[in-house]
Amino acid sequence: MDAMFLGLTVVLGALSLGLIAVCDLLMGPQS
Amino acid sequence: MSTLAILQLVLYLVVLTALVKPLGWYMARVYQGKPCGLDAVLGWLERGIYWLAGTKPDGEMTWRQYAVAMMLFCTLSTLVVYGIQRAQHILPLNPQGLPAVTPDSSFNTAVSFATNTNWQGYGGETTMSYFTQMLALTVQNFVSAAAGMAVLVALIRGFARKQTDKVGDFWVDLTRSTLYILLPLSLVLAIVLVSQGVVQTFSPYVTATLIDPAFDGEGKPLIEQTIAVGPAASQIAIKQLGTNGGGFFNVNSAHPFENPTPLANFLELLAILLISGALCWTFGEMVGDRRQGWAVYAAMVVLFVPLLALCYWAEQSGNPKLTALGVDQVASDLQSGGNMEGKEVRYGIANSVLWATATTAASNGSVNSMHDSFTPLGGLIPMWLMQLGEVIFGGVGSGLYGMLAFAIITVFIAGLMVGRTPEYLGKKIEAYEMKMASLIILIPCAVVLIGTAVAVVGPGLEYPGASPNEVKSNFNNPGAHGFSEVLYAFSSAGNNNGSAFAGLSANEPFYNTALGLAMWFARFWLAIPILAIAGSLAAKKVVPVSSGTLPTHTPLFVMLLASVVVLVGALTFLPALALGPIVEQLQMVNS
Repeated sequence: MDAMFLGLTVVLGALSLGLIAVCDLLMGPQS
Repeated sequence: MSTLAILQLVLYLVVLTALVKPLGWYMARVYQGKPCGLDAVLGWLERGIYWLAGTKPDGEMTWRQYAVAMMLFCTLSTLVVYGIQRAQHILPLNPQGLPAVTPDSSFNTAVSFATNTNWQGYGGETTMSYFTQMLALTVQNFVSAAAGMAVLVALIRGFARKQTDKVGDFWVDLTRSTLYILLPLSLVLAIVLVSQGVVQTFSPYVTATLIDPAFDGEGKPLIEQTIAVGPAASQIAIKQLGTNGGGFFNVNSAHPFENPTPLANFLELLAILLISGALCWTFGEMVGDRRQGWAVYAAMVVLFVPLLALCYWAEQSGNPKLTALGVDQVASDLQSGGNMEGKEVRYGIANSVLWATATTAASNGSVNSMHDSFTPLGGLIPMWLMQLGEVIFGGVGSGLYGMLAFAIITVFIAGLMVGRTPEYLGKKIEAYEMKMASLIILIPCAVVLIGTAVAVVGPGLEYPGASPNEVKSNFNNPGAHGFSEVLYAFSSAGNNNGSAFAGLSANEPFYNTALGLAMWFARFWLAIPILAIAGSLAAKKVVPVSSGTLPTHTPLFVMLLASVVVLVGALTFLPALALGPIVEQLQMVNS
């Protein structure tokens, strides 16, 4: 169970970093 | 409404508004790096932290670097809080010998405190050791609040700066928020609370002999009572100031050791909205036009006061079914009157309702009465305040950045009406900002509605791990009220509030995991688009004011902004509310 919840937290963190990348991509040349 | 109640509510708003300017001015100086007084005392500590962290006081980051730093910090915080809870049985400061917290509850609580939600599926005094309360939960009360304030300051810099890709330094903003704003205010409030009788001790729980023995459910006499104590005052001060809300004790601020006197109640209430309100002034000061800050503050008050009045009316009116049974619910010199179920006699209707609306307008979540026991209409108000996006004061930092996202939507709608490119504070609002603002509005709505729908179609109805002797249902109430309890839980987690309707048994694997996910997405998947907007705005030129510019400091804009918040909230949540509190109100009145 610990591995599952620790893994879930890391996945959530990674997904959030992915959202940063998507927002950056959408911003395009403006940045 | 009684004269005394009106006086209390007016006094509260007057004192709050009077403190907005001085505190807002002070916070603006902190974030602008100007001398603020405390830097002369704590400057060495600030420099020491920067030296340890390898950063500089004048450091600058792009919005991407800022967002990555925030996410790394918050993810690591979640992992640390999880680890402390799982290991608390072998860690010090555990005089009661409390066991490790279960994995699913640890995950829920870790996300809850790292996201500034402070939803509590557990009972504090029966679950958490002093070590966990202080080094996991109280530390997160400070840094999660500071992270929200840091994101707001980055957004303000996005408005204030021009043609740059830098929005400040996350570590500097986090440090200054904690060191110069949250810590000093908490220290002062904690000392005042201790003077009022809030406990602050490392001693084990006290055992008292009952003067009048009671009997348990099996008829056995009870001659002793365990009275929980602990380092509560230090946690309560920051839980209110940082709009965290997680109580030291299970019944939160209804507990006499958390909220012992009328003065303590007033100061804690004030602390709930203080920083969020004052940040409006900080915003105006930092963008160079204080009228803008007052306009946003006015929009918050315009939304808050009518909802407070409606909630008060609903609770003071009482329950017509009890009236039909001959119960006297009329206010008099001897009683508060109205619906007093789940409310402290010490606070009565006025202070219970003011707390309920303030704590849900802000993303605080502490309670001094049980919202589950409010009348259906009275309970609808706190629930809807959360569903409006926690932008009416809202969380420290997060409330104002949410409201500024609504302001961006408002100027866009106004621009569509007159056929001009929308501007806000001299920055053109274009497709990218609108996409990000739309994400900010839609994500919490999706989290709340999808989460509630999933829970009520199956996984949230029963606890599959219950033994044959245990009650399997997660609901204390069937029908519309049971639905309201689930909707409230996801509205609370999906907007980072943390208060509960309390009738739902949420400390089980499904709710601990689902609400944990809701809290995560509601916090960080809003903060990231906000930082993206900050980066986009900072790179833009400032457009000079022209005859086509919509003034954003006028009463017209205040009403327009308030209307957009109400419309989005009503259109999104009215169908769900109709299945819960609205139908329950109709049942109460008509049956």
